[in-house]
Amino acid sequence: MRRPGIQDDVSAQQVSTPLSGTHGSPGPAVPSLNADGGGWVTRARDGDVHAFERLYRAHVSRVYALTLRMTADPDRAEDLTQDAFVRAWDRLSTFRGDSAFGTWLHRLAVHVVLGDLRSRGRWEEEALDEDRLERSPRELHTAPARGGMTVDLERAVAALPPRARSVLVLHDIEGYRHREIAELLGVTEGTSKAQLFRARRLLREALER
Amino acid sequence: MTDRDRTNRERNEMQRDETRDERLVCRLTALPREIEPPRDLWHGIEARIEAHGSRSHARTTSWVVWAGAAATLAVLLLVAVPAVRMWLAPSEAPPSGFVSSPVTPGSLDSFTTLAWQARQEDGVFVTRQALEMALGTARETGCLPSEAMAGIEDGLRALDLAIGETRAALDENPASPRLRLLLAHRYQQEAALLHRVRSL
Repeated sequence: MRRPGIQDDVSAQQVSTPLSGTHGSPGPAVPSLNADGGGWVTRARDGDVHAFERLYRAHVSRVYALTLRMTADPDRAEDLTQDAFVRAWDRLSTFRGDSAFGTWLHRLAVHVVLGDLRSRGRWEEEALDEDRLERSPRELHTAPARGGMTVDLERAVAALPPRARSVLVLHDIEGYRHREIAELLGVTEGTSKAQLFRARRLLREALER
Repeated sequence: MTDRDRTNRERNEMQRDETRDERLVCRLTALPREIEPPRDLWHGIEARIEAHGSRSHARTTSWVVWAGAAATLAVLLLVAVPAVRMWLAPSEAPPSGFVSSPVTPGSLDSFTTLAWQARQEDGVFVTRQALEMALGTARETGCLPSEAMAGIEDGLRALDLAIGETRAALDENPASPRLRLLLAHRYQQEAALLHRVRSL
């Protein structure tokens, strides 16, 4: 049931596909990268902005998917994606290569989003956001081509209260373990499990409406 | 309904929940983990990186603290110098035909006072030149984030202002040991700033 977690970095095949043209994103074709970023990380760490752009193009869709689902707000997701990459640039010297660059970046992005969610004061909310259940695919920034059921599911995830949504996205979509989520959120594993249980129940309720 | 019936019903409900959960998790797991943003975000990122100046990495935090300290120093100096001047002026106004009074425990005549001041001014000039050179090098090599550079420059401007004000006060009241000590302290602050920039 559980697919590989974030430990698996972006594969060479995924990132070697030029992104130009998809959603109109301009920019250079993304080079093949291996697990350590194919040397781009080293070059970016040395201050090479173009190398960092390659890393951005290879990883942005993964980071944006995370920020979009965790915030349920396309505009904020864009801002936080930018924040995550700027912070990554600032902290590249702390990346030691113990994990894949994508894993490190993803975790950093999670920290950025959680910090933002907490600072906005809606972190403690418990109820479903009814307005978000009515959102159009365009508002959700979900491609309608994915099918109605997927749109319903994305809409229901977006309607979850922030804390439950974060746990659900991290566990069920991104493949984090409860131990990791507990560490990120500063709670116990039991709390993480309870939040997930609650999130799934709310999600089922939302889907059954 | 017996307890056994209730237990069985709860067990059945739990099993139904688990089955529904499995289906739900299947659907969640199948969601794409990559979504392209609607626009290219790189230009915004690049602009912010450029605005940061060159790479600061782990030193960024210490520089933010340093820039904050420089700004605080600037504010303190701007407030403190006029206050000290006002405080000293009435009590230390020189009598007519004034001859120099003590600087430190030892007595200094007017010539010695002027010589001391000249030495200090020479020192300031050299310090100032060295500081400008260090800042110029930092600008060229980009080894300081722009906000830190701005903080240092603010601190420097405040020090200049403070030194100028102290000198002016000393011109009016050359006998004041407090003003001389204050001036010497400003020079020391400038030297410390230079030392800090050089040590980076």
